[in-house]
Amino acid sequence: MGVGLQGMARPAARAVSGRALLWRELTGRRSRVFYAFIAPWVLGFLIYTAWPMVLSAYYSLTSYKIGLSPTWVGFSNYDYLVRHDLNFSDAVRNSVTYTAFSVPMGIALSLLLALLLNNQRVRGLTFWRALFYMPTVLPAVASSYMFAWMFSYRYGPVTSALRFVGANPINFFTTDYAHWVIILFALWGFGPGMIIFLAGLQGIPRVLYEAAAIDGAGRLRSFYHITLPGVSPVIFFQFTNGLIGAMQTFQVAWFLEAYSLPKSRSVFLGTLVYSNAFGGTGIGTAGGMGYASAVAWVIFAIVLVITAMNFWGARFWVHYEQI
Amino acid sequence: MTTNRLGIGGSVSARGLRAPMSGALMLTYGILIVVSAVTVLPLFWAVSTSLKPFKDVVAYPPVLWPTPPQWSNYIPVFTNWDIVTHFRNTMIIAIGSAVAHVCAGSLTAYAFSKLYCPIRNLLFGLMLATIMLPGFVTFIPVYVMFHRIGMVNSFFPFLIPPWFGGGAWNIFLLRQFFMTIPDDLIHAARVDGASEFRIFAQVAAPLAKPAMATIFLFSFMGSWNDFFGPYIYLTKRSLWPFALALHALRDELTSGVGIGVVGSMTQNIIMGASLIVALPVFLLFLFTQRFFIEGITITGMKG
Repeated sequence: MGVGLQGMARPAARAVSGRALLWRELTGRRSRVFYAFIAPWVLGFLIYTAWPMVLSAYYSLTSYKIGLSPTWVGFSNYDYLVRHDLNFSDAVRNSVTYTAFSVPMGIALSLLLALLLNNQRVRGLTFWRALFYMPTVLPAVASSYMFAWMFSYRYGPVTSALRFVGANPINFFTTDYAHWVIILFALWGFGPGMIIFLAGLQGIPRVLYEAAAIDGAGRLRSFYHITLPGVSPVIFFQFTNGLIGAMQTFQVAWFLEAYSLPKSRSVFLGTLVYSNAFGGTGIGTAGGMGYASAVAWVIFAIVLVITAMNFWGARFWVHYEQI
Repeated sequence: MTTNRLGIGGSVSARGLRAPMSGALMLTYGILIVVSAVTVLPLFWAVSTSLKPFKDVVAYPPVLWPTPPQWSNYIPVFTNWDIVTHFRNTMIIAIGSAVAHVCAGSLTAYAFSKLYCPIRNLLFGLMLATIMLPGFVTFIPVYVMFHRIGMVNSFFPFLIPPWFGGGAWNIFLLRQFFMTIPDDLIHAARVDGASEFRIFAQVAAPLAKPAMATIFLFSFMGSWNDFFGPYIYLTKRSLWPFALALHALRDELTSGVGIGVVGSMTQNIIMGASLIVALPVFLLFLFTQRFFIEGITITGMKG
């Protein structure tokens, strides 16, 4: 029995001492220095991220206008949103369409341009990089006005070009083409993506291509078996980021609305959050901060589901190791 | 074509004398030129429009470049805008939050890269996860909070939060940079008896200056270009940065307020105003683009 006790006590003692060790490390001098440095961030995380998330989840279950106190309404915001709010179904359709086109097309465009520039015989790399990056540094208000002006129904250069080739002018803002103007605007910002791809391409060892060439692989095969796997982490990164950004699109739609876009085409999930929270014209019986919070959580849910799927799928096509 | 006029790179390059362009290379240049033309076209058209008299704005076939350029189109912008006020507001927000992002960001990043604690990686993972969080989920409660403490219509919502951590992306980028500083340097300073904060401020931070400059620029431009934040928090005209003034200008012009020209006759003025707002960041980018390219590469590659 004594032996048994001893035998049992030992691992327990070891576990305690392990825990004690961890505790000592957590409260030790080194850690305390770390805490001191990290404290502002932890505070910021609590004040500006964690607690607001809790509040936002709570608000989404209330009817809440600023200045008044929130009243509990259960899930009726979500219920109204999904079943009765026509703006919501338009917004989901518009945001999802926009994301589904702009993100993959943006990735393809930036990868293509990066491939072209990743050629030692192409001169002026710095110049091209800066030029393609440039549209994204311009203020969105200014650049969207400039971009929209290109597509102005009566006097825009695109209309002039159409007239020049004998085609009928298209009113880009009151027809379904409005989506394409917004998507094209997003593509205009392909520069940063291209630069990341360039760095990714430069990270692929040349040896791989040389070996493939010796083995008789053509350009297409090299591209498919070396280049694509090589930049797959970058594609993954851009997809994840692009998705979060695109699902929250606000500015472009908001500015282009001034170009008399009909609401069914200009309402996005982002603009729906804004117009319910601050627009003053709450929709139907809902509206206000509570309703807007519910829309925000729907955006979050969509992003979360797609991102989770993306992370899960990554194991099949994203290659992190480099041989 | 055969001589390098600047003489840089040497006449005896590794490739020997320049070979005539191959078809593939010509195609590459062709695509690059077409794409850059499309990229620059809206900008060129904005400049051209801003200098056109109204009759040229609506002319068909379109007038590529007005002769003579009508510089007076820029006058209404200056008379309509209190340009000094908008500039001051934009600069307060942009510089104030950039300084905060740099200081707080490097402090946090230094902790995540050079200080140790058993839960360090856990916290770092948490920080990276916040990048994935859509901003819309948090902005309403944060707005309500600022509203409660009476800070709507002040610059504080832009100037306070950056001090708390300095932004996840910035921390990430700065951390990548701090990682390249050898630990021995930190240890040596510790052995010499320097306090932890002094090691950070006088040993590590000076070495991270390029990364800090990058953060400063990203943050500065982000604020200069930001529309959503000011749109929510600043309703008083005297507090507006350029982005809001430009947004309002459009409505004011189309409704004929304040300027005396109405409706679609004002595209040249709007383009001029857009260019005025875009010019400072455009120039800043032109002179500092190396930082942008490096910054975007680091965040994108190591992510």
